[in-house]
Amino acid sequence: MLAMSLALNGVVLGSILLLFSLGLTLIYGVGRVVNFAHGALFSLGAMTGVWCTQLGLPFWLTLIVAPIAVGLVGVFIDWAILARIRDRPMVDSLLLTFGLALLITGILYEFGGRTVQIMPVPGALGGVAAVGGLSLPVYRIFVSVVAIVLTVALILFLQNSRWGLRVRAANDNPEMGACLGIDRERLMHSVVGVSAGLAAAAGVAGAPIFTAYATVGDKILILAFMTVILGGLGSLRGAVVAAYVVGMIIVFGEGYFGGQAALMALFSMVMAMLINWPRGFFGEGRVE
Amino acid sequence: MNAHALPAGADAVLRYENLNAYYGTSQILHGLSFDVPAASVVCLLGLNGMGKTTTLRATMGLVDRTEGRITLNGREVRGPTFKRSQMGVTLVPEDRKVFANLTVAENLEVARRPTGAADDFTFEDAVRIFPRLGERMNQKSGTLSGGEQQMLVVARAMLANPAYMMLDEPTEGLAPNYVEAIATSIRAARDRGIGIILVEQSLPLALAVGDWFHIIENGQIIQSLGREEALADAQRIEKALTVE
Repeated sequence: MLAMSLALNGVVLGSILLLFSLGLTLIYGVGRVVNFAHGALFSLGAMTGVWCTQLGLPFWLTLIVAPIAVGLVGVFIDWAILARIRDRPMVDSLLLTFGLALLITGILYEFGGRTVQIMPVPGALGGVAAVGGLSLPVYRIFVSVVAIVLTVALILFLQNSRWGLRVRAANDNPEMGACLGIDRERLMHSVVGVSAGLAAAAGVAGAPIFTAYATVGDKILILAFMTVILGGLGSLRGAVVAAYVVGMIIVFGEGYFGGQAALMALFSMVMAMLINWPRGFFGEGRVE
Repeated sequence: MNAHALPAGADAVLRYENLNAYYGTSQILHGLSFDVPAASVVCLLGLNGMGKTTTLRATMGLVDRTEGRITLNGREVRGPTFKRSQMGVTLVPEDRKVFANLTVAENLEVARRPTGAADDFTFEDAVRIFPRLGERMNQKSGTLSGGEQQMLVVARAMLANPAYMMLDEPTEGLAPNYVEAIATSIRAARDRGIGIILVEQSLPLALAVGDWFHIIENGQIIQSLGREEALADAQRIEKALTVE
């Protein structure tokens, strides 16, 4: 019974991580930027969700409005800031996005992010559902379904649209993509926008579970970096598998051995991967 | 002739005028000047490290700094790499650079840029010139052999329907049957009006397809020859391209 309950929580955390990590992977793949500000965008999404509900927007509308708003912030961030250091050494983007994360967090502190905000679960998604003798919270099932639907939609779009083809080509080799006429700047604006929107969707959907405050995205960011490393830098299908692996390790570790043990197990696995299989689960990640 | 319209009075030519190129503080090209007429193959010959690849990369805006002018049909080739490509110049780099996680068909599709001209290169043309690619359309290009990858990058560049195509050592390390396929593709591109710069260590291929030959040493052209002159002087050129 405990194992089933933990498995559901593992799927929920894995799904949140998946939405978050796909964006991180895309931004790294196309722009070669390790985006430390991604956690702050998750927090911004969660806080935007809270602000929207405080303004009286229904939950369903909030779930759409907040990711779009944060996605536009992402486009602006890429146009105004990240584009200025394109193709500079990676340490520049690390420092810049770290500063950007502090800036966004600081702004969130000034607008209610110092205190933990509770985002209520809508009535229709409250309560528990009986599945195979287990009582499972409906909202957690909903979050998993939303995350999986968004992920499948993104992957289908990447596989079947001209935009997706260009993103995957630039992900493989940005310089060659440019030699074939791919406008990497516009592509990056859209990639950062979509990635920020996904992070915000994770933040809003996760807010009733993780609550909302200025630094709520920090723990997710660390787990997401572990996800991206396990999956292989720039590997989308690696990120999909790794997100659920990380979710399960954290939740089962916490359930049976405590939180510290879970983190130790995860970090040990990541170190082993980095040493022995730096290209990730499918061997297709990038080694810089 | 594919459709990259000429401004009134302009020559159909890719023109290099007094081109200098730098990586950091190192100057690689020293006042390079030459023309690449439409529907011709211009071969850049020389030992490694003399500036042949740098000439191609400078054309695409992939070196740190350049001076001088490159013009395409009278318009200056400048700005970011994608804009240069959209002007009608494309590069087939020396180390293949397929999009390894994309299929063969996807590699071709991402490059495909129809101009609307009747003689645009199509998927069918690519498969006719390189039948092996037709058999592998749904295969991830990273799993192709070296020769097949080389065919793919040449076909990919042709599908962009450029006015000018630059090939950097396209036959390096290839088996003879692949070399012949590459030669066929170069002739097919030239026959459709595409101007070609061919950087090649293999003199036999250069002589088989080239119209003009420039020997580069230390970032400067030290000798230029027409086709007849190059054929007559092949032994001496071969010697000049051999490290003693």
